[in-house]
Amino acid sequence: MLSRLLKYEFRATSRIMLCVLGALLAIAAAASLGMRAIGYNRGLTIVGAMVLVLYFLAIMCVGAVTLILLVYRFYKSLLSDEGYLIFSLPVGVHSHICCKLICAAVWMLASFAAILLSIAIVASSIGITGVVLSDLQVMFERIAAAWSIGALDFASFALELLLLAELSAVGGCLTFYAAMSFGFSFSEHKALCSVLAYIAIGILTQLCIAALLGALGLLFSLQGPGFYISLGGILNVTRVKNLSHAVMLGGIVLQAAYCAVLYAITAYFLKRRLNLP
Amino acid sequence: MPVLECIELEKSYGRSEALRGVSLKAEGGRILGLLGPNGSGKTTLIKLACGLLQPSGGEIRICGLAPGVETKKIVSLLPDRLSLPGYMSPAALCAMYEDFFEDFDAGRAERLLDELGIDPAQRVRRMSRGTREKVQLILAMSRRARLYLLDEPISGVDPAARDYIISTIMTNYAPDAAVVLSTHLISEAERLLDDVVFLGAGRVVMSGGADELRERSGKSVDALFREVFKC
Repeated sequence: MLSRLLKYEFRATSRIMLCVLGALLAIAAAASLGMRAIGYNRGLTIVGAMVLVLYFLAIMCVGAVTLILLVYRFYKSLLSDEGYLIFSLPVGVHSHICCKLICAAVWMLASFAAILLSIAIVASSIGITGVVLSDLQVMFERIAAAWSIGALDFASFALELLLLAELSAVGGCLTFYAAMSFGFSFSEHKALCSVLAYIAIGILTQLCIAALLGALGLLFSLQGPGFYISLGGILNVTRVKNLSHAVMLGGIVLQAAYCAVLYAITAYFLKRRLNLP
Repeated sequence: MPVLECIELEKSYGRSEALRGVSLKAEGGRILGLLGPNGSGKTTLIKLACGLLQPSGGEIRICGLAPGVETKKIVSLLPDRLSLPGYMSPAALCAMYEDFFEDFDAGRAERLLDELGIDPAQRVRRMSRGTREKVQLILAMSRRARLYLLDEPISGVDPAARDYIISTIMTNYAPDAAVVLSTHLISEAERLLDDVVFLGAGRVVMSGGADELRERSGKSVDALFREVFKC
């Protein structure tokens, strides 16, 4: 049933997202022409500059529209009148949440890819793509030589970073979902309760992070002076690599736990405290 | 086994009690009228039966099962409000129902849409309120469900549309299915009803077969309702 839900969710969202991403690429193409036009004469320079400003605004719009659409879809299909139709389908609450999350994750990745592609389109007009790529290559080669980091390490770091970024994005979506599921379980002032719940989740998250960092600091201080002496040897390349991996993996585990808590809150309120208008 | 059974069913919203110890049964092949004034708990009971709410106490069973994914396969809901996504067309909605409900009869839906002259390709958001309600009714009644939950299907529509809705209900529900129809427009729906439950302030005030109630009181169900719930 999840695949069928996804089919209808992507149909509902693609109507808007494909238009938005298409518009971004079209504006990028126009900005690319605008970049070439700058300097020809005063009129063309002004037009070119305006198209460039429009392009930067379009990038911001893509981010905003993606976020607003994903939050709106959750509200519209699960918590508004449409919820009567959606929740009468023979599908469990987990499938509904997973459907929304998968769709959100895919569109966020697609938006990110479209923004990168648009940057490449604009950069191609002034012929700096090759220069940037070769500079990046030189940078990675020097880092690799200095720290004895191989392609495998780069790949694993990139993978960890991508996973952490995706989990952070999913966590961001789940924060909205959990807050709305909680807020809309009330009979009145649903939107206000959702906003307050969102703020409360944010404050609680910050408190948890502060408590975790405090606990880590305490743990290190209990290690005694020997720990700091050994920390001095951290410039050892292997230890730097291991520490970096540990930090990334720790971040992934923490972010996954954060997502799991928010998912559980969302599922509980949709399953046990659903209160459609 | 009754298609729908409530045993001492309770539902509270905070301090407000919407249902207080409601017990009733809906048998297959019969139409049960859930009658009561506004705020008597009719919609709450229907929401509980289709799993949109969780009971605070008591039990609710559909073909012996607690409301959940399995019961949603055999329950067809017509809510008291417009719930169809505006960007979809009747054709897309029929395809969606076909995808999710094994008991959906696409041929019947097409025939009913055709009878009413509704364009299957027109988006719901471009339709009038009355047409949207008809599309919603067609989708609900095109399923061969075991239980039809129809919440205020004739409220807020013109008399001609009411006649159409009543005849659609009478001619399209599966013979072994139970129909639970909530309304406060009793005179319009009375001819449909086999059984009647009067709900008042979340309690069952009176219940029985429609004929039995008429014989016992010497009044129509509508007149009896007006007497019971006289302000």
